[in-house]
Amino acid sequence: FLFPIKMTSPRMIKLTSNDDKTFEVERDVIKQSVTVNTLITDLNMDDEDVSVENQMAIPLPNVDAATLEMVITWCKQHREDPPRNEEEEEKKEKRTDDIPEWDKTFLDVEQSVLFALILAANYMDIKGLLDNCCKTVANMIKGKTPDEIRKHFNIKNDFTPEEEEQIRKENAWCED
Amino acid sequence: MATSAKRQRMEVEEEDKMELLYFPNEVLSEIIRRLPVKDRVLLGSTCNRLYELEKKTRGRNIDVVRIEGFSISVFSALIGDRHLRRTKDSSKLFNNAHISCLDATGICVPMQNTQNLPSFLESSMFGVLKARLISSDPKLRSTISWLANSPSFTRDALHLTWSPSNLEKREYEKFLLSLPITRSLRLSYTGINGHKSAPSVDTILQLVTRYQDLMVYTPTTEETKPMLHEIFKMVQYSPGSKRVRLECVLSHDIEDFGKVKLERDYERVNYNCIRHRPTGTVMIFGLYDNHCLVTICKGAAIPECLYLQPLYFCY
Repeated sequence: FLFPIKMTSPRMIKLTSNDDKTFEVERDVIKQSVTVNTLITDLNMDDEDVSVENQMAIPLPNVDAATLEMVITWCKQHREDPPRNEEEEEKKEKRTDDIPEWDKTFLDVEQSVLFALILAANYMDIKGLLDNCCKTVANMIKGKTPDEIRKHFNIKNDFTPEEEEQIRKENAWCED
Repeated sequence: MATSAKRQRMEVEEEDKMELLYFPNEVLSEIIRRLPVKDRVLLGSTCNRLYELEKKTRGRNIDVVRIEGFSISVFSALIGDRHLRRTKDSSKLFNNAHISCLDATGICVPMQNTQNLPSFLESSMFGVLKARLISSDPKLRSTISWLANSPSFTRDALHLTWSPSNLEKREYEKFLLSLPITRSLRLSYTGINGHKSAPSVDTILQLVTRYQDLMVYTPTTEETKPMLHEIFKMVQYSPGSKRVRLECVLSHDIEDFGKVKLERDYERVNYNCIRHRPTGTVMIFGLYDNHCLVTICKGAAIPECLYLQPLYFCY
């Protein structure tokens, strides 16, 4: 007996960046973004009768095309990841030396690119990406003196001399 | 040519700098939370915004460290700990202290094993240290002292409970005054051993000049009343504290206690008085159930007892 097999192509979702570039991405890939996922559900976009051509594109006004492309690449790479249990993640010891190799290479980009990626991950609510980006930045901060941190991240010292003295006293133990 | 190339490269690097402060607070907090304590503190000392954020992020994992007594052996792995190198005989210090870490909701934070506690505290920070001095063993005091001096302790509040049957009051108060100053100090004198269980006037005098927010909870008996009145009077005129609260459990004779206060000629205090005299010292004796709540406020702080709606105020 031969049973007819229904070949279903993966469900696609359209996303538009703030510079008007539209990306088509598999529903299963972009589900890692809580923001997009909620929008899809709220707008009933999971309706299989609507073809991708007739589908409304989801606008992402806070993300530019280059960054969105990177976000999609990251989501594709991590599509098979088990869902994160945020409660468990909260309890876990916070480490920064456990970034997966692929992510390490992926996030080895110019600071401005990493910066945009963090903002996009935060806006699109992609916990795994945000987590690894934050770890990368934390690794940049580790081992630096306050002056080095200021220089590296363009931070202006806005303490009064009295505040600075007070903080120096509070943090005396750090100078061990 | 080489100089020009170098300058160009520096300009590119300059342009590529990440403006960390451009991040919203929630992202910055996530970054801070992933840093070890020392790096967190150093990041917090770069500018006001990061200083405030770092302070807020502290204690997110642990709110309270509670020392309950002497039963379980912990801290044997502390010998190599950086902060303990300052402490003599650190290897023996923490044997037998039962220490638990609680989150903001009062639930114990799971630890793989208690030997991890130092590194656990190192990466977590805690705001409140609660200790019950139910043993006279000096090791318990050393443990409390170590935790109170730990850089992981943000010194928000220290809660100490003492029972006169377990440790001499003189010893206890000497120890109390040796601890580092926290933003808030809450003391409980438990037991029913007459005046021995009430705080010493001298100790309170020293505490009110040190602490901005002090609360003492003590049983009250006929013997302790005069002492407490002395304390109230003294606290009223002490210069240091902004808010001192003494909460006493009255075992009996509430009316009589009220009369004693009348004789002492305290300021007549009511809500209007507080509103109209925001900078003066005010004192409220509030009675509710079998508690006498005495609140002495300096400055514009509105005493919390106003919101407790006491059944009766005596003037």
